[in-house]
Amino acid sequence: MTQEFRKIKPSEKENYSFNIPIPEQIILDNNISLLYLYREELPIVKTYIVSSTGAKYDLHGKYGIANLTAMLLDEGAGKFNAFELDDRFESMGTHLEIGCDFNSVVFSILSTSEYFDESLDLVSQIIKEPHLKIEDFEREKEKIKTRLIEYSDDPGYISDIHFQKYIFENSNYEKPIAGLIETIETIQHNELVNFYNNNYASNRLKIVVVGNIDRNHLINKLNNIFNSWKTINFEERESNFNRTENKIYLYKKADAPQTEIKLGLRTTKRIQPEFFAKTLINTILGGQFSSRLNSNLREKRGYTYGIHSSFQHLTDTGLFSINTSVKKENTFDALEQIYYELERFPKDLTMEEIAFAKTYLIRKLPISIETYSQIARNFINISQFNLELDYYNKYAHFINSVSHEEIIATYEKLIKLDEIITVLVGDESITSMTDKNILLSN
Amino acid sequence: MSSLNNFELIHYKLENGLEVILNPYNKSPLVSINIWYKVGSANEVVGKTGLAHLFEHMMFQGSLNVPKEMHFKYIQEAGGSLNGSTSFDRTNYYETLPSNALELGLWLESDRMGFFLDTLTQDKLDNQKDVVMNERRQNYDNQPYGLAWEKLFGMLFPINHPYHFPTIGLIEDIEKFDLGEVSNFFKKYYSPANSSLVITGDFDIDETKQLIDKYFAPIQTQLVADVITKQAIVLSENKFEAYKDNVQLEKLYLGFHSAELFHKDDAACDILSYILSSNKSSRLYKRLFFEEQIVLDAHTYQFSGKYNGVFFISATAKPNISLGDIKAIIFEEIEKLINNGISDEEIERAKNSIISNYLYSLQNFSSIANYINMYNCYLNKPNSFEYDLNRYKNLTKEQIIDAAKKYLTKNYVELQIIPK
Repeated sequence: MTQEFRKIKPSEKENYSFNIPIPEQIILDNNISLLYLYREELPIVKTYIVSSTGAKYDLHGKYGIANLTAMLLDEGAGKFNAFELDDRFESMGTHLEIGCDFNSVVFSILSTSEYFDESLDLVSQIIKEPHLKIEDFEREKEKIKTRLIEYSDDPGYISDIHFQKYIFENSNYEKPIAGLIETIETIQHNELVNFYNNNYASNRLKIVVVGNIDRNHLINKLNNIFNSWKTINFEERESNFNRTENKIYLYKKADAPQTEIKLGLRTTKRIQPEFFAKTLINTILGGQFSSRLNSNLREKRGYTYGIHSSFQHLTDTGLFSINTSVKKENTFDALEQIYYELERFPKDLTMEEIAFAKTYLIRKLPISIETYSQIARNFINISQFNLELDYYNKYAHFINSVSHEEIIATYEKLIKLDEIITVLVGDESITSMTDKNILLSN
Repeated sequence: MSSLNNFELIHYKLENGLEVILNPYNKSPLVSINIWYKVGSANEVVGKTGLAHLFEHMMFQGSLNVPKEMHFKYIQEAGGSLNGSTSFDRTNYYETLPSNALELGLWLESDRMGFFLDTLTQDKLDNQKDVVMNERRQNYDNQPYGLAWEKLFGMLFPINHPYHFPTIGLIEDIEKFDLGEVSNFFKKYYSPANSSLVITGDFDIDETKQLIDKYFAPIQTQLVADVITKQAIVLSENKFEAYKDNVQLEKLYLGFHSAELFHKDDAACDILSYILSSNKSSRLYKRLFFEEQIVLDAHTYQFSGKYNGVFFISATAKPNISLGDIKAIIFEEIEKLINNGISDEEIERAKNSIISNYLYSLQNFSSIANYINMYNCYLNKPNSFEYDLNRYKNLTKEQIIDAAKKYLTKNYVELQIIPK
């Protein structure tokens, strides 16, 4: 026996309020931008130091040099060798991760307030005074080459790098961030040292700090560390992109029980207000569990454990992609359904779907700023894309302002089905399941 | 008043047996709801593997007053996030919501706890069986080294042991589940007396108690029939398997029976793992990667289950390197550790790491709520934060060396994954 009250979905209580933090922007002595927010609930500090020295700056033919340089930075720096650095971080309980993407090398530091100063001192030595010894270079070079051998059976990695190859053909983004075995092989020690010297400097840095650390203390500390560090003359690299044509590629993976599917096309870089229409498109199409793609391919047909879409924004271009993994026998039925969803989107988009997407995006702001790490990551967006400091306070307004017509217009402008590249990673036998023209990628 | 390792908790039980733990903590205007059902794949039997995990999927398919797909949608519309997970020992469901949507979360959780069966259909079951089989193929069958853990646990534990089979289950078992089995599973394990509800965050205590009473008190309970008894497993000899996979590099795995969760040696095994492989100067990593340069990576991991534990060591060989050579060095290093001891710096580093990791986890209500449930379900003491930290803080070097002697010198399981 059930109770009548259960039939009615409870409403949210009214008068809910939350504060969206606004960072303070401080320009340090040598023009380094710092975004700062003081938080006192926990004695911890989250810091990001972002250096514009990512893979798009790889030397021609030396793909992977930016990533290899990033890997080498903490293999000894300042007064410490690699073991001493690592031991010191572990003793303090500080987490340091160094990651390289297309645009940047990001130093991500999570430390207690007690050990913030010492952690920052060590990281600054890693950034400014890496040893870059030849024996470490040789060892890390072998490590990345071996790692790429290992990845060559990973269907997700293969689909990513082959998709990237076709979407960004002949551009700075064509090659994988980690490089290729054959290009890494050619990198010489002196070339890496020159790459470091020519790219790492104070005028390539941006800093974000959120947590329990005093503002003035922080500013003094950062000025002491960086204000005498070199600046460099730097010319931003131009990127040229080719238009893609609708093609399907297969990377053969013998006996694969699943086919990894990645498809999409190049779109525009992050510009407002178009960005908000894109965000709504993605939310409805494939950006959350109740999206059209997931409801169709997972919840209705059981073709996949999950399917999702995303718009990615690089500094000089953008990308839209859809990812999933399906039982090999369902490969082309899944593709058919994906195309069905792509084609119907502008034709039957409802006001109800738009309302849900807007509500979802706006109401999840509180949970997206729960931790110091989340707040700091949001501030990186402000920093990287030169957004207004109160961007997140205006976010709800931006999202709400997008009309049905704008969503459709943006979709039709960006999602051109005749430019979509599809990469499949799976068993060769799937080619017999379709009359589509499949190009082999290996 | 809460401090960082001593939270304010209100712990009580409803008449139907549901344990409730309230943890008011108003650092953010959010609430996190976390329910543990004391059932996992350890409760399954041979030929019926994967049912606990499949059932977790089914719990998102709607209930009497919540249509299919709407569980997710309601939470998302309210600005929340949600998920569930199944392990050997338990299944948990959790959501974090803006604090003004607490009642929504309680309504949803109580509806599926009490009235899931009312809307169970063959279509839903068939659909989620397909989804789970895709999950298995994607995450295990189609991944390099994807079957390693399944094989290791299969070698470590006899076929009737709760940990023998993987939680995801075997495809041939998943395919065959019928409505009757799913229904019986729900009746047997998904009742208030077999579960524990934790709420952490910004809420009014009295109001919340009333809501819990409103939504959960009327749900009928059943007693859980089966009890799993702990069995110590001793390997009478080493076990070995070489498995050919679609990989390029050979990989070695070793498994040693060790301490179960919260056993007196459990924390020592965790610290041992840090000393052996946590950073560049850790014993195994330094020797194998830096000095010998024969591996791509080396890892150790203490698996602590409710009934048994396992200490794992793994290493990925560089091309043309013998796994036998790697294994010999691993055992050399273990012997060195036992005979020569460990330094004060090594143990302090490991302890500091663990303590700071705990501090970092407090940023997140969902993490706090899950800790509370873990302590409640395994220790019957939800406020065991201080106890848990002290297990590590109070460890001596001798206890860690004793753990190495006790567990890493016994018979073990060896799995080699090699290219086809």
